[in-house]
Amino acid sequence: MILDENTQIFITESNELLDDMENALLELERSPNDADLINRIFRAAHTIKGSAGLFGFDKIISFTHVAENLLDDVRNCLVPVNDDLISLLMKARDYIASMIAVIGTDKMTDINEETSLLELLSSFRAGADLVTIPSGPVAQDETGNYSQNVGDDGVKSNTWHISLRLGIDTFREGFNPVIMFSQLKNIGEIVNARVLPKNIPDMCDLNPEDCFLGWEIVLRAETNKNTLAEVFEFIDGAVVHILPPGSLITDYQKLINNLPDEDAALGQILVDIGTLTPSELLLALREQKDNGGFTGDILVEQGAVQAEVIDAALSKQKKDRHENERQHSFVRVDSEKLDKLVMLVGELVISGAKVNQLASNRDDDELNESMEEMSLTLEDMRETALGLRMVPIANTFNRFQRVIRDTSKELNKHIRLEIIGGETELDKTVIEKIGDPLMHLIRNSMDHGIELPAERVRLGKPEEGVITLNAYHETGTIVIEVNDDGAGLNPEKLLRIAVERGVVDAENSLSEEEIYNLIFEAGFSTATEVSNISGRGVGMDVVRRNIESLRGTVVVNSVLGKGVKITIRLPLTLAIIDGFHIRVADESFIIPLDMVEECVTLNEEQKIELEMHEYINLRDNVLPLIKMAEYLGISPTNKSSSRLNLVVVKFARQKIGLLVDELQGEAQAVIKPLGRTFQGVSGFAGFTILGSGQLALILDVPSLIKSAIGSEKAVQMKNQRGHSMNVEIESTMH
Amino acid sequence: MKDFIQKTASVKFTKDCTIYEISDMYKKISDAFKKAPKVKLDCSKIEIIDSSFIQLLIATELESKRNNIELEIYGDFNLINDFSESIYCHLDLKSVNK
Repeated sequence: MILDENTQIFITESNELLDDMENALLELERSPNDADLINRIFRAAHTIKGSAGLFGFDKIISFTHVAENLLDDVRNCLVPVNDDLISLLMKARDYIASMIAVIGTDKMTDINEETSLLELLSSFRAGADLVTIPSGPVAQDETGNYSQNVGDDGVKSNTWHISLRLGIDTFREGFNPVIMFSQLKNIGEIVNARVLPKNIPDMCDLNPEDCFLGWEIVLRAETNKNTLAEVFEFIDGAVVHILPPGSLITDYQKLINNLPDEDAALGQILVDIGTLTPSELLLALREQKDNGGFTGDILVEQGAVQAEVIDAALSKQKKDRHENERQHSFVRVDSEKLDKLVMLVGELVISGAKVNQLASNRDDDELNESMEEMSLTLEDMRETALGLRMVPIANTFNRFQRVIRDTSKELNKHIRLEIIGGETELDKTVIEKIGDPLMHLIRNSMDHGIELPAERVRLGKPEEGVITLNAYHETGTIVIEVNDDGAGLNPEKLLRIAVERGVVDAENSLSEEEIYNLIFEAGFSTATEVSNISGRGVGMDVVRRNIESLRGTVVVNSVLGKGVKITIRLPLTLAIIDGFHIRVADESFIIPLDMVEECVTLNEEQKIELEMHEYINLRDNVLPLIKMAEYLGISPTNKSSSRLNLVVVKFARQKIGLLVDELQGEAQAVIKPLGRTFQGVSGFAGFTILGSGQLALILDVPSLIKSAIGSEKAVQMKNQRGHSMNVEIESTMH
Repeated sequence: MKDFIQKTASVKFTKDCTIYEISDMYKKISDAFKKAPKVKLDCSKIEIIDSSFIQLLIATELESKRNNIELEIYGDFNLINDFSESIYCHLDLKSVNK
């Protein structure tokens, strides 16, 4: 079913909120007293509920409402944060995600799971809706009335502070706040009261029948807490905090942190929480106008407010400002529009190349100068357009925190995930496709790599295993490393299994790296048991295939007993590249420029070497070669040059030489996919259209290197076998 | 810049502006915001309001500031002012004569 645009936006935004909720829950596990995290989780649930209301997603509303009630108890310190609570909230979060996932489909969520979760959520609740927080050291007379403050930890004040948030159904229940304020006025003097508009959602998210009104009220009164509490007793769903005169500084600090994110002035914050009267603020501002200085310092000097409360208010202000700036610096863009923009820029690059070529054929300085300016601008446009597609890999990496948490519990292991280089950016298409392979690698590390806690201690390792994800740029590629400090790979065991399964021949001699990389062969698994996490032997070959489909490579290294390191290399972008144009007979090809090491014109000695071997000696190093005409099956033409040109290409510290006819120079190439017919054809990463209008295939350097090195080894082994056969014949003859 | 289909959009409130009519009023205001950069709220017929209406006005005021939409209130605004002040919800809306 095709969903309308608004519903799609709701789904996207809800999923983002659920991601934020998940991240906050994971952080809360490590910092259970962090009020900001609890508020973040609450706001996410609250926003999802509010948005669901606009679309009439009643099940989401009612489920989220129950979760929200529990979260409200948590943020009011009525329910402690512990493992059980976090696990329950995680499950609730997952269930909300499943409800969102079925929107617009015929699928249903599990009603039994829903019922069970609702019961659990309710059972965790503290009970009463009306709450007060413990007061500080205050003087109470015989009737229980409060008077002036006492003690050094108390905030100097002769007023009560009431923080009120009405329940969402308050309007429907017919409650009239006029009566409430009238009752308060009967008790004392309302020094200040301010509605909190920021609690009201934006118009597009607002259900007008829901109540979002809340106030911060400062009341001067000789009364007791019970009398005040009675004013709000019958307001269903309301949350009230009552701070008596002389409450602890920490109570006010908590109150400051619970204020909505409004980027209010310092004075406003202090008046809102009742530690300052409007006239005291006016006095301080007058002092500031006459003599300069900071408002906070003046208030402390005047004895109006304690320094700790000022610090809390300033810290909140800074946080709100930062949050506002962050919210305003991003614009949501439909990814299809972005792709179209990049495609159009790509076409412009091709057309620009064509015009450039035509211009260069004319002897017109002015035209050539303009073309050069246009080329520079096009270059900028290309970089900017490609930059729009770049996304930090942190988004992908952070997903794995939850995986690590849940899988560790399942395996009874202690495992921590460390992320380095999360800010490293890569193309969004690559980001979307790299998630699954990485997930598989991490699960493998957890299942087969990291040992059980007791075993780790016995081996002298810390009980907690570490998996590290590290991302960084390296010459036109992005490198992602997945490291673990587990048991590592046993090369003897790997080779034995590979021989048993016919993956390699027994007489093959493989390097250690080659043995480790056997794990990517289909059907290869050293797991003695299949778990629901890994071990079926169908994962690693798919991982490699997925990475190679992104024009990337993956390599494994290991130290037995210490751990495994898997290194993935991926291109930065799949869209447009700087290329090096070469010709083989009549055909044009493009080599990605960042993989071109150098161009060499062969000397006579090297030409002779070439006729005998598939390699040459280049500055005392053996360089494997591919004779491109032979490799591609192209017959020489009259145009084939007698001069032999060698392009040395490099990828992942391996080099080969490509023997070509002509070197045409640099060219930008908009990569177009080859199409289904040519899938599986190795050696080519796509094609492009040159400025002349001719098609040019883009060479896939990593697969060419693999091919060249593979054939070099085949020759070596052939020679070795030939040698050993000769020895046998000789020995039998004797 | 948003493409508006007209210069000014008007919303006429009925006699009763309470929880029972609030969804309808909300829709009218939301539609008006989409149509024009200037929105007139005609309060001349209002006789009964409640706090849901005040909340809606607060949301409307915030929305107009957020999207640079000019907002004008027509008619006798005293009822609205008195009610909102009594619940300490100061509205920053411009009241003009028709």
